[in-house]
Amino acid sequence: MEEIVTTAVETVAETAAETASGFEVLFEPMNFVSNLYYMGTGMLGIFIVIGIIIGATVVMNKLTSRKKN
Amino acid sequence: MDFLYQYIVQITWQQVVMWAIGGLLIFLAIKKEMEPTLLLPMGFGTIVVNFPHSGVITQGDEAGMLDILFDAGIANELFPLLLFIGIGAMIDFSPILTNPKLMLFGAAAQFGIFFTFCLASIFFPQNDAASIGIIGAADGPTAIVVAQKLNSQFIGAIMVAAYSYMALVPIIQPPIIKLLTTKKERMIRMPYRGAEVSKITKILFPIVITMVTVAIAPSSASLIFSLMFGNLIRECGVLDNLSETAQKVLANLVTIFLGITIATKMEASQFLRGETLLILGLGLFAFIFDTAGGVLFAKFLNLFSKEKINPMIGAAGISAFPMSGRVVHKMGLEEDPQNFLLMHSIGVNVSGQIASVIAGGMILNFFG
Repeated sequence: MEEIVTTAVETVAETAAETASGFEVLFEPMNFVSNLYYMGTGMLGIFIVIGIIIGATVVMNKLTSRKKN
Repeated sequence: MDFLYQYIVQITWQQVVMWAIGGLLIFLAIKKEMEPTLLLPMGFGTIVVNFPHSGVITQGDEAGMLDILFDAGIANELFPLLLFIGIGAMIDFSPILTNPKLMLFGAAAQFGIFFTFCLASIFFPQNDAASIGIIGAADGPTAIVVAQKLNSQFIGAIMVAAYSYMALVPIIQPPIIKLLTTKKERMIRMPYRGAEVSKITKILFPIVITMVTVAIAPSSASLIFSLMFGNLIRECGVLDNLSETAQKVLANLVTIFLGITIATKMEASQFLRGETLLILGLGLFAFIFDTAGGVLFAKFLNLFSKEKINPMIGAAGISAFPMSGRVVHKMGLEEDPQNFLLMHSIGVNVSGQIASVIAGGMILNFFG
């Protein structure tokens, strides 16, 4: 019984310590500014790919549409 | 008699809190019908992994069932990709084939991903920040694949945020849309000119999209291939049985495994951390800025176009298919009972699905 209680106490202590030390976030406000580059290029990249897909869709529609009389 | 309570006395308060979180997920799934296919298995899995020495997760040399599933299907990104085949088979791309310009809104509504990434990078390393940003893809499989490829330690919190907010789209989006639009703008009518799309275009579309996307963002190859393969078996017209299997049996089967497997990352020691709250907050930001990106882009286009666009449809580019498209349609009807925006909003919604995969590919190109 004593062993079990000791183990339980140790487990609680370990988990509490893990939780307390778990909040390990940075605080680097300048990272926001330096990563704006990725935001710009990422959004530009998406618009370029979507633009190409739109162009391809328009071409496909034109090539495969039935001619009107 | 020690054997009866030797494990019970090892239960910690953190594990009890996780049971409550698991119970909450089950409640939301059943009572509120919020993404029940995922939140229910996640909730039940969360409860069972949070017991001392729970045999469902690996303990020492003894492999647990859920960890075996995790290694087999999530560590190698197989489950989300299989799910994407099912999703691809469910999607009808006709609305964007008749009006391809709608795809621009899908692109604009990925703004929240990158903006949230920048915000998250203040608090987290780049790989975790990018994984948190991708919550804004509003697309579970993409979020899992990106977070896993970037080796994020917060995959559990990211999944909970992604699926919970997807289910909360009808609550999150309307106030943002109303804040950014006037009543007059919300009443803009957009007549639907349904044009016939040839079968060959429907067949070529998934093939061409896959080729273009893989050429530019090769990291997204597996995602876009799975999605478009599912769509190809739907549209080819000779694999109806496979299409039906992908839409129902495959999607359901993978969803069951996906939900309970994600629960392996819901252990108290991994989930009950201050970072989790921060991730949930940042995930909400991602959804808000995605919505704002789509709406503001539509308003921007209105400055130049003769035929005005109802800016609400931009919000449907968030992906979350088909909830977001329906939300926009419903809001249009509330303003004007004769304003039917469904075809436009669903078109934008499916284009958001494609754009979110491309965004995932871009993120992987940068940080993978």
